[in-house]
Amino acid sequence: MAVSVVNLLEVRNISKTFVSGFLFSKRKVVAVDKVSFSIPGEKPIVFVLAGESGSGKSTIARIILKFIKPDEGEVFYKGKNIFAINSKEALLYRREVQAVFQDPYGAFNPVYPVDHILSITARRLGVDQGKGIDEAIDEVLVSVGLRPEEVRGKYPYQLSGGQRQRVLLARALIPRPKLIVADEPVSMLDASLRAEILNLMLDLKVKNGVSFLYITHDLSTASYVGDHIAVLYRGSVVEMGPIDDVITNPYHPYTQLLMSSIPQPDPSKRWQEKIATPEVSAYKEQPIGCKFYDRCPWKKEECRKAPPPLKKIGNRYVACYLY
Amino acid sequence: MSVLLKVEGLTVAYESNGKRLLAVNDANLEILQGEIFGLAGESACGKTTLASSILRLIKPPGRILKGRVVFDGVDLLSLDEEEFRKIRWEKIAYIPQASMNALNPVMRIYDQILDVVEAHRKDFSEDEIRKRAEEIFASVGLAPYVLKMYPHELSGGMRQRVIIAMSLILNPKLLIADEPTTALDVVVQRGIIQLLKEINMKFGTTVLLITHDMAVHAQIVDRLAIMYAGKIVEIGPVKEMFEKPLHPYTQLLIASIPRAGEKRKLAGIPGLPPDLRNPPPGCMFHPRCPFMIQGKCDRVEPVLQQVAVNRKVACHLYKG
Repeated sequence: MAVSVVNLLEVRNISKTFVSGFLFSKRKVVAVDKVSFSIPGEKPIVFVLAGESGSGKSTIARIILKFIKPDEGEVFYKGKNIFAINSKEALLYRREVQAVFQDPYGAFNPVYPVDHILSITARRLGVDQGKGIDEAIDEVLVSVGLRPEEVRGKYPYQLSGGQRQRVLLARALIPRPKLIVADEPVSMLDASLRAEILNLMLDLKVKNGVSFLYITHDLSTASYVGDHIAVLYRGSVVEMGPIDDVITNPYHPYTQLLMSSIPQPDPSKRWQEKIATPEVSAYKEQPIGCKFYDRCPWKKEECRKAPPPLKKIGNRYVACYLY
Repeated sequence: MSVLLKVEGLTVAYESNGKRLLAVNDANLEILQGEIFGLAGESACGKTTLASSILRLIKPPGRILKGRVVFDGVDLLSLDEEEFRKIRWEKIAYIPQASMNALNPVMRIYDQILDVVEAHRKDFSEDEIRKRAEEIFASVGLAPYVLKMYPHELSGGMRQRVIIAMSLILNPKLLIADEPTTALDVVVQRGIIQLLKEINMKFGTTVLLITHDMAVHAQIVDRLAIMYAGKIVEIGPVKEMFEKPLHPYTQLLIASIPRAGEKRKLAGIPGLPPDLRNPPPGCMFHPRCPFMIQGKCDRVEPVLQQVAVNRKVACHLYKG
């Protein structure tokens, strides 16, 4: 067997369908449709999973965090299938893969001081040998740029959104994780605080060697912190590759539309041409061929027959018959 | 261009437990006929309170302490409720934040439009209303059959278009839109921004656009006001403000926005906005300001003053 470097995380062909309604009015929603990607293990990176609402990005996060099981496909962590590991390995997985979510306001129990969320994690998942729980908590608070004496003993309502998100990042750092799944961690924060949290993520990557799976709809922040990106459209990866290449020169027509729709914070770079925005109604049946067919300016007959496979083109992958 | 809306010395307070905080603190601005005017600032800086005072929607524990709001020559705050009702929606339409989620779920879109029109204008016949609704729908990019649909059958972008159509149905002079694109996907957001611009051009509607998103302002507004902790700190043409922001807060705010495809280190603004129950003396921004002048900025409150053609700033670094 060829010796290859084991990926930190490998998502292989996962699908998840949700069924809603009752008896005859049942409707199937394919949230995730045969998605594969991997986060390499050699050095820490920020891998961006980008997509609009309903693209399945949070469902993928929930599968990776083992909140739900995929209908098909596997997820491997350091070469082991996370849905087929023993309890000892599962505990290790819980330690090494941590999560930070969107809402820093709803994540805390309001009746406990913020220490609670930190000490529970420390007690459940353990801290480094020879260290007390208090010492470990102080250490992670310092590493996210908080002064322990200013935070410990405080109640959530006494902290700002930015401070709370830092505390939640500190919590995630307690068990010395290798990977943090961050689902829209800055979308509820103001611009001035957002920049600080993004810089903190970059810091943690370099100093603590933590990789991030950064899930977002915001391509400006993605391009700031990201190394690699996978762009999702209605449950499928349409384009994947090094983020600078994908953002400056997108190949897939959907990625192109997405990139040209990011408002540039510069009044001298206003949109010149008008885009037609086909307004689709809230529900639509799943097409057989390419999911972007209806909106694509370059659609051809063959696009309707079968979904385009993800093909390797240079240093990236694109799912489109144009290539 | 003539002034359509003038806000003078507007001060709005919220009171709780005997403590008073000034959510809008001596605000002065002029919105010109036919322009798109942007109001920017971070959470809790007073943007929405300012907009709702223009529409007299401040309810206790909120109170307008002083100031004037002059619209088209009429002092809005001195009108009685019946006189003001004729201005609200007919002359000034308001799209509050997240209003696309406030459509009545059990009424067809057309019936909701009918409700709005009948509340204000008794002189329209049903035929006239239907014709007007179809015209407005066409100009916001919606097909006539959407009128017969229920809100849950529409996507977020379509519901926002319905709300915009409803606000335009009586042909108002001023449209106040509070975060109209915030919960929308970027492609849909682009469509709505485009639509606001089209309405402004086609009907000559003056627009007051409120959003925290500086990139949206950069794309659409003509002039921009920046608020911080209840104060308007800078007003000017949007191009000049992005090229050469004057107030240190504006400078730092613009420097903290990421741009796709750029890796320049983002600064962020250290510290937090002040607690308005205990505001700092002097300039509200002085505790976070890198250019703070000891003995001046922490003592004397700067006033918004003209420092160049079309440019106003409230900062001790500049002389009027």
